[in-house]
Amino acid sequence: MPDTVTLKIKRQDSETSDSYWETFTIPYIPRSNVISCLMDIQANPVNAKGEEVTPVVWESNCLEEVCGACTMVINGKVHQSCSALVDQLEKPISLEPMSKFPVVRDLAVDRARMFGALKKVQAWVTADGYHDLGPGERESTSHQEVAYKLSECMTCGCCVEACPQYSLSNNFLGAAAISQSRLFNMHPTAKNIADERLDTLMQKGGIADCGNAQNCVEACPKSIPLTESIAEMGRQVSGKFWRNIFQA
Amino acid sequence: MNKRRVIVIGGGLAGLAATMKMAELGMSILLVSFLPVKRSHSVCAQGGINGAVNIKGEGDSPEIHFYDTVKGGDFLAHQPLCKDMCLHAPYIINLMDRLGVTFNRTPEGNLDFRRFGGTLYHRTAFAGATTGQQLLYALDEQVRHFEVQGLVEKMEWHEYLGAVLNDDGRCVGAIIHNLRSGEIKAEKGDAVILATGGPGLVYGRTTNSMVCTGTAVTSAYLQGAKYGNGEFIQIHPSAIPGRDKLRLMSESARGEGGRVWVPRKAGDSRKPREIPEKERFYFLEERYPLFGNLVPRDVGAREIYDICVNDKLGVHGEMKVYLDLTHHTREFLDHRLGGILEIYEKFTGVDPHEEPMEIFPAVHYSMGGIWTDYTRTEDGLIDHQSPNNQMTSITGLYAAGEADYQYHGGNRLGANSLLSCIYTGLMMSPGVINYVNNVPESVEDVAENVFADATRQWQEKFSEIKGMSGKENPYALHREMAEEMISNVLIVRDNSKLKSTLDKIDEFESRWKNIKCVDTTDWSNPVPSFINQLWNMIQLSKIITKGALLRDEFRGSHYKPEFDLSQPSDFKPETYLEFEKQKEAGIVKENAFEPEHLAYMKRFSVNNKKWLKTTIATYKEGRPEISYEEVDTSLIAPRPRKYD
Amino acid sequence: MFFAEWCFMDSHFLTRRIHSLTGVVPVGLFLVYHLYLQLYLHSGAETYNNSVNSFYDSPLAIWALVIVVYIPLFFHAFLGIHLIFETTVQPSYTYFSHLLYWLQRISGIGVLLFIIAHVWNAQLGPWMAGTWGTHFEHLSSGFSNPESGMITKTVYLFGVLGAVFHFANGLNTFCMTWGIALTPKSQIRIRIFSILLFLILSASSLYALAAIW
Repeated sequence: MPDTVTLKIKRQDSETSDSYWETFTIPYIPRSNVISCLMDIQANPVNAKGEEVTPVVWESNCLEEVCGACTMVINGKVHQSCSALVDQLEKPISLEPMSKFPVVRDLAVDRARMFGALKKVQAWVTADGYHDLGPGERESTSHQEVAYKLSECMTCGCCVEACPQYSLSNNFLGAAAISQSRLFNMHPTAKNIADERLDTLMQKGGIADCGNAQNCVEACPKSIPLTESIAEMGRQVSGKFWRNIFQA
Repeated sequence: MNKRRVIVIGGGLAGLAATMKMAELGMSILLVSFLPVKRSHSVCAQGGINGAVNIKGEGDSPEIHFYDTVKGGDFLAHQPLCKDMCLHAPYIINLMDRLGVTFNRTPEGNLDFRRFGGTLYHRTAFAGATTGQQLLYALDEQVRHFEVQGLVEKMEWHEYLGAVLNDDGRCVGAIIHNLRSGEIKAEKGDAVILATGGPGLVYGRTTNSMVCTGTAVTSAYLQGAKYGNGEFIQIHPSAIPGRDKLRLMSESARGEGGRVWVPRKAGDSRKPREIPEKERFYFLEERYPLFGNLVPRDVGAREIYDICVNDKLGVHGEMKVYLDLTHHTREFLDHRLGGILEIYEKFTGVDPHEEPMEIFPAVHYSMGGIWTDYTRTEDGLIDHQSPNNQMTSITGLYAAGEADYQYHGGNRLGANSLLSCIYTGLMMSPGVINYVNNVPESVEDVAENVFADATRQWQEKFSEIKGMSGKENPYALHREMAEEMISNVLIVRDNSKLKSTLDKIDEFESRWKNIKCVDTTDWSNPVPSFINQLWNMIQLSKIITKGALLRDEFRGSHYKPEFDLSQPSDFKPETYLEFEKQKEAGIVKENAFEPEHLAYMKRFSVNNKKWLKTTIATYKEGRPEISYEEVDTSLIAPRPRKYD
Repeated sequence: MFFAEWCFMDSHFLTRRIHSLTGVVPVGLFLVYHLYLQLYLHSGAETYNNSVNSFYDSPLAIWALVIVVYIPLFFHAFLGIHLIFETTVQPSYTYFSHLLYWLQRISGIGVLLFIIAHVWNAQLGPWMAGTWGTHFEHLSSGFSNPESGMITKTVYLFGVLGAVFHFANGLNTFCMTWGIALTPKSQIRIRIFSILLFLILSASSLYALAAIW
């Protein structure tokens, strides 16, 4: 059993400043995860050289992998830091902010683009109102199983961080938003505007920018069948493609 | 277009429900949230949402749901609100279904319902094991749609510091702290709604998320708002021990047949699967034959505590018991509970399909919260148009969701929290709009110096915090304080310990003044914020501890063994109703009751007269001053609780 | 882009869909036909030369070649190169499909260079030199040249296998893009199919090359 854990953390003081690596060595405590290590640093912010430094800034909330906040690049791969258990990680542990989003500070990034993508694909049900209009449509259990899985997406950013087609400089919507458009295109009432979602997917940054590397589905912490979603939306836009040519 | 605007603080279920409903009614909303709203703590709710839809034909009804809720809360909840909530529950479930929540289905395609603690009916609609997440996403999507339409403006990465009060003490806006730039400024709002959730972080490691510091409601309390029932903190019987957090193991694990047990032999070192059936002690099933593993949370938590601490039967001699699902097939478990079992496996490395889970009680929910008002109709329901609904004792400042205090009494039933959050958000909206449309002077006409003064006050406070150069690390101090609360203000409460904790908290307060602000930079610096939150958590821990110290009884989650009325085991709660009837008529036929029962009923009656009251804390000279208020129990007569 | 507006579509989407389509129809199909023709190398110089020359007997042959093969091919190639510049290199994600993703791009560049060399060597070169028509002799002499033969052989070997890989793997992506293979199961089927296709076409082209090795 080791006595200490060493973390190499890529830090950045502000959006525009340069990044630098800082090493921290903290006492090893069984059943730690990356978050608890960061918390230990917070409670005693001293780096490996013994210098007092500012505590590392990161983003987290639920700590049980349902909120999506604490995503970062751990030992080169994107992962939620709450479910990254120290005992299962190679040491020293390296922590970096996600590379596909502007860094806010240290390990915290700004994922506004992902929420913007949800607006673009109109990921919502258009309701007549919030008064009592009786129950929704009946659905089969198999339909629910597919929809539930897609609906577990927590906009954490793993899929797009791992995607070689998604970059700071382009405007690709990414697997998460494509998968959400599938979810809403299969909802009994949200599908009323299915064609509008397909129009969005057929623009620059849409589904045509997928390069089929399939990293998204491997990186997704919730095992959402993202490539299936991309193929399904590929089928839907193909239909729209021919309809646009021959029926519009 | 309405030029008036409402500020909603917090983007969990309650905040989003209110935002959505008010936007539908045409109101402009400023939605302020610590995090992107999609990451709010509501995502952690797993099991489901209650509503007596009676899909299973069991004869369930909102009336019975109402009764279960009030009984579950040990009669401390305000009954008209509970009744109105339970009456609207089926509609809320249908609404969420329409908005795209992927609820589980029956073979015919109807919504499926499961059983939950504190009831005998299948009343809990669920979406896998992440119902809270699914409900939140549906509301988030609706609000995003309004955002695109321009009715809702979101300020994510912003923190509420305090209310702006005009000279009459009316709330006319909020001081908002930009968590990136560090800028502190006033936002004008004709009404402000605090939907900021619970205060779990007062206890450090709990099932709550990192934002659940209770700091917003405490700030309101420090500004003069009343705080209700602070000492009623729900301990969830089943959590997964962890270093950073105690992750919830949903009650649905028991709802789907999970069995709680310990080895009959203390310190049995065998693996759980090697222990034969007859050497296992299914203590909940034995002690509560009727409700079994599905007793309410307060009962469950106490029994587990009792087994581990008093009977010393905890697994491997530690504070843990088994929660066993291994008798179900893998397919069944994956379909009904997939998400939560995955979490267990991910965070412990043990497969709960094969091995019983190891669980222990953890702080989960605060029944108490900021005091809020309501207007009841004659038939015991709520007048939805009333501007008083959900208003705190500061005019124009509202609260909703876990932040308020009135729906769950002394103990919340599982799957009622999602309901109460969405219900309060929707229910209060027409009233808030009525209030806003009738305020004597719009915020646009409020003198600018009101906002400027409040802003300057907070700016000064934060620059003072940044200048703190003492010796204490704020995070380490927080850990210590939480440790104290966990040790002494948890499941079993003892007056001498509570008293010493109060002194300890005073010590923490003076140590707070010796904090060192470990990060004094300007950009995206969470430390000053946390130091301020810690101050508020210290104040809140005083409310909880003092309330607990003064309430000398055993009610709901608040358990003081020395004041246990020791209900005779063969006692029936209906007997008490008969006793009360006779008492009201003026003659109690004492020999009609068993002497032991009669003595108990007398004790119960005296106790209720004294303690069936809401604890009110008001901020006076640095401490909470405790007083008591009547509870509206006009619809269901209070009686002893019994679950066996 | 006028054409795109005419089709009521964004040109960005349209060009990428055409890119995907041209890779299979006609370029991919031409590749299969072309590899099939090479099996005649085993039938001796005369039969081989006749079978190749018979294609060029038609007065429209050269036009067909340009319109059906060269234009789609170079459209596919140039857009493909453009797409490579938009990718991010992330070597830490060591998934098999990610490896294929990069092999597809690297093979694309390699095959483009090979095709340029091949067209120069087998078509433009003989035309300009006036030795057009004796394809078999031209090829086999190039292969057996004591100085450059080994290089030519290596280039052909890698070029042909690269083209076959690029086509077979591209077909896999094509099925994703057009939504032909939806479920993970069907995607595995398509992957198995494309591996088989790769093996069959590779065997066929190696066999053809063996005739003049």
